[in-house]
Amino acid sequence: MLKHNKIIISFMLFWLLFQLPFSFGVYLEHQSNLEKSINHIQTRLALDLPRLSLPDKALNIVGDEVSVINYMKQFNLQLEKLDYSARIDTIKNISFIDVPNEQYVERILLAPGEPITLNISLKSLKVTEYLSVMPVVFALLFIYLTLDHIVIWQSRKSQIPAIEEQPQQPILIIDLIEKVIINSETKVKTPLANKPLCFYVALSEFCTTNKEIVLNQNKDLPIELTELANKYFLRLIELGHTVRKRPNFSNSLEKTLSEIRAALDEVFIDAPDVKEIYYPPKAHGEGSRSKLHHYGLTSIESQHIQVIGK
Amino acid sequence: MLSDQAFFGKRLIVTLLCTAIIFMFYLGNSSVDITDEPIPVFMEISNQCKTEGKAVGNNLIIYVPSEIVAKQVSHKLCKDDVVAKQYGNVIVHWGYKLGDSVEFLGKGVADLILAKENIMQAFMAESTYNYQAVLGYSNYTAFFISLQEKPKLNKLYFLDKKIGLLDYPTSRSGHILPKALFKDLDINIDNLDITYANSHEGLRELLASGKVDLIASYWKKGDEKQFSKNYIEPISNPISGSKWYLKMDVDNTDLLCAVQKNLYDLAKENESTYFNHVKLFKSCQNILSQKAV
Repeated sequence: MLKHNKIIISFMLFWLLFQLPFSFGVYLEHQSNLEKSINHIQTRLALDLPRLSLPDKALNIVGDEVSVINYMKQFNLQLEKLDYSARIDTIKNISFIDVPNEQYVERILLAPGEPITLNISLKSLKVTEYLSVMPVVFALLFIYLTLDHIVIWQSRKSQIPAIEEQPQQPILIIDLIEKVIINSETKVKTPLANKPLCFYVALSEFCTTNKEIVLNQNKDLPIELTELANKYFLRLIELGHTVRKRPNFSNSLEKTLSEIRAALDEVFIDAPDVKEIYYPPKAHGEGSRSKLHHYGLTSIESQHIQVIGK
Repeated sequence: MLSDQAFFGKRLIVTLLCTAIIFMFYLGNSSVDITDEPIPVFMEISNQCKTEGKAVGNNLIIYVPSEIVAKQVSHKLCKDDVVAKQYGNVIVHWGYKLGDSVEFLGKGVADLILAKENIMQAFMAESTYNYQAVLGYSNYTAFFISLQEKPKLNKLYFLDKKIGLLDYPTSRSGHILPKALFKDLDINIDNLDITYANSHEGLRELLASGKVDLIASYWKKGDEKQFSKNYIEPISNPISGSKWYLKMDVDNTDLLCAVQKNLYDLAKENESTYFNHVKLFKSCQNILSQKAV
């Protein structure tokens, strides 16, 4: 039902888009026709002027109103035959109103002696003359051409409110300048020492690109991970947080991870589901020394983390 | 269905849409009929009819101020045998303007013309082109007509009156004679309150509606319904009515008699008392009566 409404609305929009230029074209042509008619009327009247008995005060001539009115009637008969939309109404104050029109123009013929004023009434077009079947046909054609676009537009529109209902999922912001980790939604900050901070940034970056490598406490750290951690430690030195030489990240790894977990616990206190993404898994069950244990972040993606001062 | 339509990408659709919009504009523009035809001449100032004769090159030119009379006369003369023998076409001109009659009469263009005696005399057309009176309408008298009192022909009377006159200077009863009277009474015409009208009927309307106190016109049958015959004052002796003049380049008496007969018949058909009281000139009267005998 919704789909039908959308198609009807699109049809109306297309129809309007075609109908407006069509009507505008009709209007302009009608105006130009009127202008031409007025010019022809003026020419005819100017040529007939010596034969009309119009009043002339300078010569004490009263004028023959009846013959002038007859002349105008004959004139309008000719205009009707030629399908003109203009009619002559008044010549020099001698008025003849057959069917009163709402619209008229006044023209002045500058004849030698007294100027001759005339009123020409103009017929406006009927509303039906502005309409045509062509815009409807074109609108239907364009509905057919754009049907798939309309369908997509509809479904997207119906999805948007569903997304909006869900609250924004928080992400983790790691600020190297302030040495804190921040929850983007609740703005909860937790400071972290240099070593765990570097290691965590390196770990998250490493895990987004190398998901298949298993990180185990019993093994050495992969070279890439160490390099990344060193790189971020150098960055911390640059930022002036420490002057000590870089630590060995393989030493007391479990302690480093614990510090990280503790900080994450604080930051994501309200969102345990979200925390799982960032949380280096703890070893449990048969023993923390299990060869199968993997402390890497399995589900992290680059959009989950924002690093400030990288 | 979706797979065929994937062919129409957004870019293609937008291009087509713009083209279609421009096309719609031109379609609308061309759907209105262009009216750019000049208006033809529709004012009639003359009429031509063919006689049954063979003298195609000869035209009988008539001038009559009134369109109705002009058409009646040409219709009658076209059917006449004598006219058919001599002329191929009868062309009749009419016009309300004074200038027209001056052209036709003063230049001798018209063969037959209905004119007033004073104009004929002014152009000396009787001697220049040998225009001969064929038939004349009855003489009449010019009057001042008032609504509520009998007009007095003295200076004091006119000075505070509103006077209705005709606006064309060839009219004797409505223009020339009253103005001549004012001159005789030593009245400066500029000091009079004169309202002009276009016709004798127009004058009567002015008087009846009270816009003027008195008018200069003739007395015709039917006027007593509106005005009182007691409240009229003659301005002059009877003046001759309009006359039909025929140009007699040669002594074409046949034509004269034919024209006279037709005009006489026409006058008798006319319901107006003024137009059916006619006076015949020339000796055709005798010829006609002899034929009748």
